[in-house]
Amino acid sequence: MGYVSLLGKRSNCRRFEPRAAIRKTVMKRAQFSNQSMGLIAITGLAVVSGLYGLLRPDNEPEGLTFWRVNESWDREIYSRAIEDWKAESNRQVNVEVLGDLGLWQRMRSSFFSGSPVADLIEMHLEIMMGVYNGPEEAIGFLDLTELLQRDGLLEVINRPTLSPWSSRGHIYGIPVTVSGVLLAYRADIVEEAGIDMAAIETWDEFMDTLRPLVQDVDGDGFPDRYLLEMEEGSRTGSWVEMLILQAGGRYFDPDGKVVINSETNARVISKIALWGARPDKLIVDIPVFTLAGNQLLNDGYVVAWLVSDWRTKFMKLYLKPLAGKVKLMPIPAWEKGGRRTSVLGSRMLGIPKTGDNIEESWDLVKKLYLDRKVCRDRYLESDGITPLTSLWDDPIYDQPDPFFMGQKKGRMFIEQAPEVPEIPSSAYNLAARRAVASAAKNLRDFAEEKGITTSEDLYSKAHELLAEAEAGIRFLADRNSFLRQ
Amino acid sequence: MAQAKYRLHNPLAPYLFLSPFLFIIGVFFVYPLLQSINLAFHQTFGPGFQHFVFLDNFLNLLHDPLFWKALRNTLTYAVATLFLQIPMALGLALLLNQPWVRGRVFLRLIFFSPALVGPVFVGFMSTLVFAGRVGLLNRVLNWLFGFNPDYAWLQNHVMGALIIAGLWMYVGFNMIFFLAALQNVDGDLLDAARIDGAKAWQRFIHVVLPSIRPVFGFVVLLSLIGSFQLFELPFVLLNQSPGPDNQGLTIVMYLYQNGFEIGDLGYASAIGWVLAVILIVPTAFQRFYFGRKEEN
Repeated sequence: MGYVSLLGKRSNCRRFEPRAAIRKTVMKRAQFSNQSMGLIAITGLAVVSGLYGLLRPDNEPEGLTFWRVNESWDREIYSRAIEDWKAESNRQVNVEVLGDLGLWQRMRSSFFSGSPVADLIEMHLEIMMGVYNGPEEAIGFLDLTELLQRDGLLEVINRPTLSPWSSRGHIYGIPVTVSGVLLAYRADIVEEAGIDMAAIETWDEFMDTLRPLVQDVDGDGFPDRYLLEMEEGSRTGSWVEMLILQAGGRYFDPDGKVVINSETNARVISKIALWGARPDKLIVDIPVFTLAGNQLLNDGYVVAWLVSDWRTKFMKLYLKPLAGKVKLMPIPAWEKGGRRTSVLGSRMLGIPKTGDNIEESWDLVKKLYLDRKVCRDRYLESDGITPLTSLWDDPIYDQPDPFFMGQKKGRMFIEQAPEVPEIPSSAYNLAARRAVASAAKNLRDFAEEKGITTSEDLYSKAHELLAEAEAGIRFLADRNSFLRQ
Repeated sequence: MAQAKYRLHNPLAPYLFLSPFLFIIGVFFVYPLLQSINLAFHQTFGPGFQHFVFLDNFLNLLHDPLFWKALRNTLTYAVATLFLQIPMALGLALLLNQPWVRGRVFLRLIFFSPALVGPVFVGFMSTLVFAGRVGLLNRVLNWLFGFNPDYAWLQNHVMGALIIAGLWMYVGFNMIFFLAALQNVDGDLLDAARIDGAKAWQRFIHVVLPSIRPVFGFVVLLSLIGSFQLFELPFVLLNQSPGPDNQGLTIVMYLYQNGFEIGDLGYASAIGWVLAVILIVPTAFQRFYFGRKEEN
């Protein structure tokens, strides 16, 4: 404004002022130039980028798109199976390997926005739970129940193994393994101590018999060996859940109602609390699946730990010094004649319901997870036990495993597989896991503080803590009007 | 005449220049802001499924024990930031501003380096420090004092571990602001105070502190906002969980859990707006208090 006014005044002046005239010309040009260049640049960029967006060639790959989780140790099995399937079907498969968080974000974004998503998605259990939070129609996966029935597969899949992938009466994913659990123990340490593990049936017997093995080796006043690896905080809550499920406890009833504060759950966390309470601490938390955790296991820091079928492969990969020193056994029961197994994690393969190639995707699912040859390869190379009961008579499961001192590891897992407990498919299972694991940890602190040494004396406090956990989860679940419907 | 002609030819020019800025602000700030207000009155499962719940989200927050736990944790961390992090940053800056300290440039880099690698790396390194049995802290304490090598810091002292990790991460970062401010303190004033017989602490209280007050206020505000937005450190340190008994749950972690794990963007928006209101208080105080001081 000032500039224009100034120019106007100056232009009325008759006296010639060369410097003012030059300044005027330069400033006018500069102003014009700035304006036009700015406008041209902005408009040009907008037009070019807009045109690029509109005219950009569609790079969508041909064939099926398969998002799979990042597990390097069984990649080869997938590669071979996919190559076979491509040759058989004359179709392409584009595999994208994703981390859990990346897969979760991309999948959720696609489901929410209706944007293109892969034809097949493989994911871990923890991710799948979040899919169930909304109304049934918002579950982005295809209900596979009819396809399973049509192909006669529903009757030959180990039913408990389908539980985490099922919601409101529909099956949304096929499990890759049974994920049953056995107890791995250091046979060299146990046998040296003259302990007969075959005689142990219950957790009480296990703890009582092996208690002398908790030892202070270096004389610093602290034990250097514990009996059982057990998550004591609430990083995942999976370890406490494993034992609760084994005991027949649960966090949700079949209708999805929160039932955390139960007798069974109180009994189990009371025992776990006592096992972890000082000064007679028997269990210890180690960072599993890390270098540090592996080193501790190699060093004999714990005598025994719970392993699922897929975790035995981890042992072979990362606990090589233990080859020929470790044995497996059914996990001790909570009472004589009780269940000797549990379940830990898993993966599934599902088909997004917006996919254009449902039949082909289903065909690939069957190839990757339910094909006899691939299932054999999966056991031989990654120790995973197929959930297909019709394949359990395969002699490969009877092969002695030198890592486990010649035990027929596959058969041991299969013998327990029908007893594997169901994992609830509640949207709030992860929160419940953490809440109960926190309750167990607080109960342990309480036992230490009060010097309590019998689990019966902990029951009332256990119920109090479980009631708190239940109230918290119920508050979360009751808020969800989609599930109430 | 020239004035009139100029106006006739360029009436839209200012708006054209402003339009990219307005477009970006509108699309990426104003619209999301309005949408988040709208969402806060809905229960959602992604953008496709919404129920209008009016004030239920905010009323639920009032009775939500996890929200109050997250608020308590966040406030604890913020207080620690105010009373530990900032004094330590200022102390380090004062030390590294002394000409007699050798290797000052190198030390500045060392203290600032956690800010270069970011909170995810610091969080991960902290897990190695605080781990039981194999953790650096337990090893050192066991070697020095015969401390229990299995002590689980990340079970029993989650907030303490978080505060220490936060100190590691941000003390050096804040130190840089204080260093810059200290180097701008008028030397003549310090000389005059020295000649008048003022002792070191008197020079600090009466000359240095008033001179760096604007930067001090800025750092306090920045740290407070950062504390209330704490997310990555506990997320990594506690293995993507809120820790035992939710001891490491912060407001933004709770927002993330609700919005991106459970999928209720409405509840997450309500948490976000409560957080925004909480942050307005210190911001307004800072502007009012330090603004008035500057005017004086």
